[in-house]
Amino acid sequence: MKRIYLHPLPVRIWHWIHAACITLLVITGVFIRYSEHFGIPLRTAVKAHNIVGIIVALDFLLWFGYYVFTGKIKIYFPTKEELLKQAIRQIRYYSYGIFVGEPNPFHPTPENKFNPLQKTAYLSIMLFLLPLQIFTGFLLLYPDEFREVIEFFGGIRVIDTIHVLLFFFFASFIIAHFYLATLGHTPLAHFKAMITGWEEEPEEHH
Amino acid sequence: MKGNWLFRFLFILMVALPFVALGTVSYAIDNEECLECHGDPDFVKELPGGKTVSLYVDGKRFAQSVHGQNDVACTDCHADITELNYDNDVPHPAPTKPVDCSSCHEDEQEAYEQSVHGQARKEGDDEAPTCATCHNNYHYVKYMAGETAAQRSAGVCLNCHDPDEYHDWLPSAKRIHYKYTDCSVCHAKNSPKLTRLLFYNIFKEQVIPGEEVVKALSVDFDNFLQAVDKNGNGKIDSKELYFITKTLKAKGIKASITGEIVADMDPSVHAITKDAIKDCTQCHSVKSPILSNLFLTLTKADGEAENYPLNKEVLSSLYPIRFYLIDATRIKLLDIIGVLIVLGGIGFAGGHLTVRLLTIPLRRRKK
Repeated sequence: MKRIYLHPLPVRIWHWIHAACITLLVITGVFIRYSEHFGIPLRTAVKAHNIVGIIVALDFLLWFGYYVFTGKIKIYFPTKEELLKQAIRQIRYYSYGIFVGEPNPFHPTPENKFNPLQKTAYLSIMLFLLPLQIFTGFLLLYPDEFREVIEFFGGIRVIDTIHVLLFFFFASFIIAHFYLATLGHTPLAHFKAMITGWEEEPEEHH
Repeated sequence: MKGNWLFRFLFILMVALPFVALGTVSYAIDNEECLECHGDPDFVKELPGGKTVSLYVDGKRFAQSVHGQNDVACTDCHADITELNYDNDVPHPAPTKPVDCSSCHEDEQEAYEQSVHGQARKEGDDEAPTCATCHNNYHYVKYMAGETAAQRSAGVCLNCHDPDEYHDWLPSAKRIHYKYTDCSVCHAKNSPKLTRLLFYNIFKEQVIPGEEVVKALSVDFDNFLQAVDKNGNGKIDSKELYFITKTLKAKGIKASITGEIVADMDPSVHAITKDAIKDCTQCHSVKSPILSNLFLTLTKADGEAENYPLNKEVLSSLYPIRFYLIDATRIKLLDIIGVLIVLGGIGFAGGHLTVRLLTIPLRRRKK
C-alpha cells in the first residue's frame, strides 16, 4: 500500500466547512421553498439560510485565495488530451471496468489529483456554478439594493429561477458526490483521506 | 266647480312636488354661495400678529375630490353654519367649530378610537394624530385605491414614521416589505387584505394609468374583464394576461407586471396598532388566503381603482411577472424539474451501487 499526501490542511478545512454549509443550505432551502410542509418557522429558516450562505461565500474566497495564491488552481484545468482520450477511458472504467475488477486507470499525485472527469466537474462547479449561486443568493438577499442589477437580468423571478435550479443541482450533486466517494479501494478510503490528508493507493501488481 | 278646484290643487301639487322634494335634499346653503367668498385665492383672514391665513378653497379641485364627487355640501362638514346673514361682517359664526368627520365616517372613527393614534389622543396627547393629520388635504381628499402601497405610505404614514427604524426583525429584504405592502396590512390586523397585480412601466417607474390600458385595448372599464377573459371562466389566466401585455406592446405601451399586497379600502384600516402581524406565512405560503384573493388592478385618474379577478395560477406560472414572494409564488414547473434533477442523482448513485453489488461474484472469480 502506497501513501500519498493528497489533501493539504487548508483544503481539508475548506472542504468540510463547505460540505457542512452546502448540506445546511440545501436543508434550509427546502424549508424555505416548501415551508408549509415543515414545522420550521419561515423566518428561522431564512435567517439560517442567509447566515450559512454568507459563510459559504467567505469559504469560497478562502478556497479561491488558496488555490490562486499557491498556483495550484491549475490542477482544476484539464488538458486537451485529458478532455478527450483520458475522459473516455475514465467513463469506460466507471461504467464497466470497476464492475469487472479492472484497476482504476487514473493514479492521483499531489500535482495532479483529479481524474479528467473530476476536473471537468469541479472546474465548472467551483468557477461557474458556485459563484453563480453565491451571486444570485446575494441579489435575493438584497433585492432592493440590487434592484437595477436584478432588472438587468430580467427581474427577480429570473434570478430566483437560476438560484432554485442550482439548488436542485447541488442537492443532486451532494448525493452523487457522497456515493462516488465510496469508490476508493475500500468504501471509506476516500473519506479517511479527506480527514487525514493521506490517500492510500493499492500497489499495482506487474 | 268643486272638481275643478281639486284638479287645480292636484296639478299644483304635481308640479310643485319635485321642487319640494329637491328642496329637502338640496343644500340648505349652496356650495356656490360659500365659494363666492372662499373661491377667491386672495381671501385671507388676518391674525392678531399681522400674519394671514388663507381661507381659499379651490372649487374645481373640491369638485374632483371624493367629497365633491359625492355631492357633499360645505355645510355638511361645517355643520355649525346653518344660515348666512350678510348684515354681519362675517355672514356665519366665526371661527367655525372643528369639523367632526365621524358624523359621516362613523365606522372609521370607531376603528380610529381603537388605534394607537386614537388611544394616544384619549390619554391626552395633544400631538396625537387626528383625521386631518393623515388626510391633510382634506378639501381635496381623493380616493386612495388607485395609489400604490408605496404612494399611500409616503403620503400618510411616512410623514411621521421612519420604517427603517422598526423592522429589523425581518430576516431580509426589509425595504421590499414596506415598498410593496401597505403598512395597514400588518399594522391593522383585522383589515381585509388582497393581492393585486398592476401594469407597470419599469423605465418610468410608474403604474400605467388604467385609462391608457383600456384605450389601447379598445374597451372600457366595465367590459374589460369580458373582453380579455377569452375562455370565459370569469378570471384572467396567465395566458390571457400575457395576451394583454402583448397587445399593449403592439400599441407602444411597454407593460411589465408588478404586484403588491394591500389592505382593502375599509374602515378597519384605521385601527392601526403598534404591534403588527409577524407571522410570515400569512403571505409567504402557497396556502395564503391573501395571495388567493388575487386581482388585476387598473387605476383611474380620480384615484379609484378597478379590480378584476385573476386566476391564482398566474403566480405559479412561467410568465415572468415582477412579483415574487418566497414560497408563495413558486413556479410549479420548476418543482417538477427539480424533482427530476434530484431523482437523477439518486438514480445514478443507486443504479451504480446496485450493479456494483450484483457484480461482486464476478470480481471474486477474477481474484
